[in-house]
Amino acid sequence: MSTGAVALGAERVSREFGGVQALKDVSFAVGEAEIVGLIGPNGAGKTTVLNAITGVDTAFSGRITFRGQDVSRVPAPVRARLGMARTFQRASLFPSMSCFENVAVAALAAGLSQTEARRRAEEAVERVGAGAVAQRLAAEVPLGTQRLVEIARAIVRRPTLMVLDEPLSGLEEAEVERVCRVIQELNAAGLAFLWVEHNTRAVLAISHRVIVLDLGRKIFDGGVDQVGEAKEVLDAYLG
Amino acid sequence: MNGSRRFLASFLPAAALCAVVALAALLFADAYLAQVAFLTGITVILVLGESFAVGNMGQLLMCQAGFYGIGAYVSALLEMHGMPPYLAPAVGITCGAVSGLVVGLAATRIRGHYLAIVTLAIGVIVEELLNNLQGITNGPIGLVGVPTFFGPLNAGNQADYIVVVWGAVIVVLGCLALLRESRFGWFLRAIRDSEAAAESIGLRIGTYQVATVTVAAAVAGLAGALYTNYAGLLVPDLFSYGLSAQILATAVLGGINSFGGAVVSSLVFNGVPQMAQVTAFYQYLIFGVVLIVMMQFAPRGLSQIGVYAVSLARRRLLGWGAGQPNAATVRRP
Ligand SMILES: Nc1ncnc2c1ncn2[C@@H]1O[C@H](COP(=O)(O)OP(=O)(O)OP(=O)(O)O)[C@@H](O)[C@H]1O
Ligand SMILES: [Mg+2]
Repeated sequence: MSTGAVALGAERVSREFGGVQALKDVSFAVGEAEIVGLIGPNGAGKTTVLNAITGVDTAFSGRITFRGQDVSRVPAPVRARLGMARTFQRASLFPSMSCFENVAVAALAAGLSQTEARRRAEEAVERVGAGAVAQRLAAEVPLGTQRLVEIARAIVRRPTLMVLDEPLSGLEEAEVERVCRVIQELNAAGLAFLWVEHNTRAVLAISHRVIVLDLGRKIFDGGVDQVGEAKEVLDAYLG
Repeated sequence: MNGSRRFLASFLPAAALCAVVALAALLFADAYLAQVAFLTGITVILVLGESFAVGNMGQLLMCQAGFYGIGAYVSALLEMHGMPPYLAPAVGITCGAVSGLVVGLAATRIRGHYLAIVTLAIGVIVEELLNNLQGITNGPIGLVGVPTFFGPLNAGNQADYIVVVWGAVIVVLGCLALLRESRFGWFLRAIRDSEAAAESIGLRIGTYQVATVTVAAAVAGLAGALYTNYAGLLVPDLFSYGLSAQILATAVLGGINSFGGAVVSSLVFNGVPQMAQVTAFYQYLIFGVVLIVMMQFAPRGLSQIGVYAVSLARRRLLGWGAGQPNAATVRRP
């Protein structure tokens, strides 16, 4: 459950794409050191929310606050500097770099010295268990490994909030378990998570709280043990 | 990240090739070939700047000739007012960098094909300004009597000119190769690979785009200053936007972001036809056909053919497996 201070706040966030109301007045908060799962059917608006939160999209209405600061109009790279990190629904590594370099370049972008960047990148790669493929070209490793490296790249700056868009899709069972364990370990070290995931079993297993979106609206926000009984959620999923 | 090894791997072959070309010119060139050698050196510098920009931004820059012209005219004008010629390279680089910065800042929010169009417009504007600011540039008649490094090209000083321009080529190669392996170079590469991911790690794309255009423009400005101090005569036609297109095409033919490719491409498509005294008509015709064929079959340019040839030779001669390409040999457009 939320442990006091709020890391992230979304207040009445709405987004329209040429007549399609992708989000309508969505509000929620993520506490510091909380793991919040964001679920919902295809096209519910999950990625759209993440894009508003991380600044990939700034054409929404409403407000995004991050650690007490209004960041609604702050561009994505600046939000990254403030401590937000993310991964993408379509794994987006730098394909011309090795897995290790993908992480190291992010450490350099955080302003670290060469030696410190290398050390931190090694640490992050080990942490997600991608050490064995560190020197391989990112474009050539399996999707599951790419997703792990993406997480390593995201944590190397030591963010305070991680935003993950379907980190488990395309992963094998063992990799799913590994990613879930990594999330829990990082969370234990104080990192807050907002994650979108279709693997409901995994979401319910490790999240502290779940938010359900359907057709751009929030239809549920509460404990993982209640979501299965909520009528709106059953309706949305079972039609 | 193995920076020094990669630096040497990209710098040494290209620099060695340049040294060989310069040496051959020093040993064997007559007055005409010396002129070709000098002008080819200028082309190599322009193409290297373009290749760096296009390779790192993944976007087309269509005003190298404009930056080249600004470097040439400003250093010429300053020299005509008493500045010693040896300062010209610094002036050319500065003028190029400043104009690149201005263009870059004006285009910060412009990406993709739109940047190509905007820079094309800028190239046209520069050419028009050179033609029409009569009071300063002397219009279409151009500037005559511009001081030169060593006087008009002749048997006695052609070696000096060749050394200066090819020395500059090697210095530019070294600087660009260093830049590419620097922090800045890595960030550019990240942005080229994935803009969204680059932003997610805290990189501001606009800033790096401005910086890249500035670097390319500084390189072109240097070429302009060198040209001025060789030709002693400047007319606006030398800096037409058609030249920008040619520079871009030569860079693409070489293989974007491949220094060796840029050098070879400039030699093959610029130096050789001039050596053979092919008329401009046939030169453009052949160039156009080669461009079309290459884009069909080897869109990553000469460097792609080079990489293929090397791997083929290895397989045939040494029996090595094709193996996994690694980061050092795979170049992306
Ligand atoms: N750039 C865009 N232009 C137009 N419509 C868009 C755009 N992005 C999203 N949409 C629309 O907004 C709605 C929500 O899309 P979004 O990608 O946020 O869904 P999602 O919940 O992430 O779905 P999925 O589970 O399939 O990833 C969809 O109807 C989608 O078609
Ligand atoms: Mg999505």
